[in-house]
Amino acid sequence: MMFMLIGGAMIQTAIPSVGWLGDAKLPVLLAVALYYALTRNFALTMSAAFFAGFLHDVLSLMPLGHSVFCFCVAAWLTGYFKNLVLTDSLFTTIIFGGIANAVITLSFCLMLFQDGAIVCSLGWIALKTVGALVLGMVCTPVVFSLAGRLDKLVGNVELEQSLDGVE
Amino acid sequence: MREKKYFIVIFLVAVIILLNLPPVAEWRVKAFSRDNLSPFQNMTSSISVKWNSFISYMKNPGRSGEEKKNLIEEVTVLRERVRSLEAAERENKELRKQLGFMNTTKRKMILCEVIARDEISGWWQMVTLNKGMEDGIADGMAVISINGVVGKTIQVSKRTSDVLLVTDPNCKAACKFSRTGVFGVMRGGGVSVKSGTGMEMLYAPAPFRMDYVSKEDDVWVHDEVVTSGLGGTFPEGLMIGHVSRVDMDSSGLYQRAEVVPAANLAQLRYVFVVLK
Repeated sequence: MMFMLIGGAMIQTAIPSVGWLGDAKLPVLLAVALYYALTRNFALTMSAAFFAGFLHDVLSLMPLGHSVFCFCVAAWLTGYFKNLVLTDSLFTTIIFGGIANAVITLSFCLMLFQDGAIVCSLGWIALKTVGALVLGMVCTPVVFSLAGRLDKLVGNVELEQSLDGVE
Repeated sequence: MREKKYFIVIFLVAVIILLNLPPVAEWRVKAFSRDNLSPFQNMTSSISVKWNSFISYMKNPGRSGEEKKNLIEEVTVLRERVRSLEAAERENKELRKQLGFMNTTKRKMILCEVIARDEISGWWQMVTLNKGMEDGIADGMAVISINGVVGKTIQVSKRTSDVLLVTDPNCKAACKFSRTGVFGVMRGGGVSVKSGTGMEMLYAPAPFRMDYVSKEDDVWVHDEVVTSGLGGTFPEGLMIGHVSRVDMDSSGLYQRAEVVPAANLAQLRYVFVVLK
């Protein structure tokens, strides 16, 4: 999990933002948190969301705790709905990724505005939210696929399946 | 079920603690984590540099990266010397007139490498440098490149420093037009929705603005804008950019000028922090 999160943070930092998407960044860390929310138990979900948010806060100018709070809420809500959706479906990951990233972007905006940490126009916020929605829809399925392969490669999936049968 | 409740309480308490940390403690946690993450950032940066140098070698074989780095450093020092000599000459003329005296200090600079371009959250325009407090860098120091002002340092940890770029709306600097000596305040324009944001806008931000310029003053397109040294962060005479457009403020009391940055913020590799 830490490997995925640190690697994800480095990739998210290295990939540049695009002006015509309101400078929205590729939400790799959020996608990793959502991956754990849709595929793992509650404790792992919240741990992944907590550390993803922590890394997001540490590597940005965000006040500590803002991303942690948003990521934990997003992961908890995703985990809450996971029994109602097909977790293996590509459509689910696209929808969850897009909506979660757009809502989190708006939440950040409100929090940072309240703190007086950002200066931006309504048009830019709208553009950024749309950008976040699009990038969330694009990035989340890719991260899900890579994380699933990595889990299989290191044997996490088999280990969990074998532990599921143990009472 | 009971276990889940415990987890909820634990995470809730952890989030509340993080949100309510005093600023000093918050900064210590951030600085500690950043210092420990800097090797990963360095690794990512060096992979990206090697990839870029491989691409540039394929395009233009012959000149090694090390040689290029040395040349960049040399050119920067020479340009800076020329600029300070020009400023000294102008000052000298003025002082001769007034029979005054003024101490001229040489700028002490430190060469840094950009280890993270772009900020992880996308809310600020920022880069991260590979040097920090251990090298004498502190908050609020001016950062320049061979072409002009890049920004100012914020959030300096032991081994890394974040630089808020001049194009960020939160970055303000006192500046003047070098032709007329008229003063103004420069502010980053961020990304404007109106100003034709296209594919070429990857990295490239909208031009920044020079506000509060008196409407009686004469401002031309292509006028050179330099720092005035009045704000305290940026020393006097650092090149900022050139005027691309001049118009009236909506209140009609001031003029404002759109300025195109002189520094190529899209391709920052090495920058200099001006030590106080």
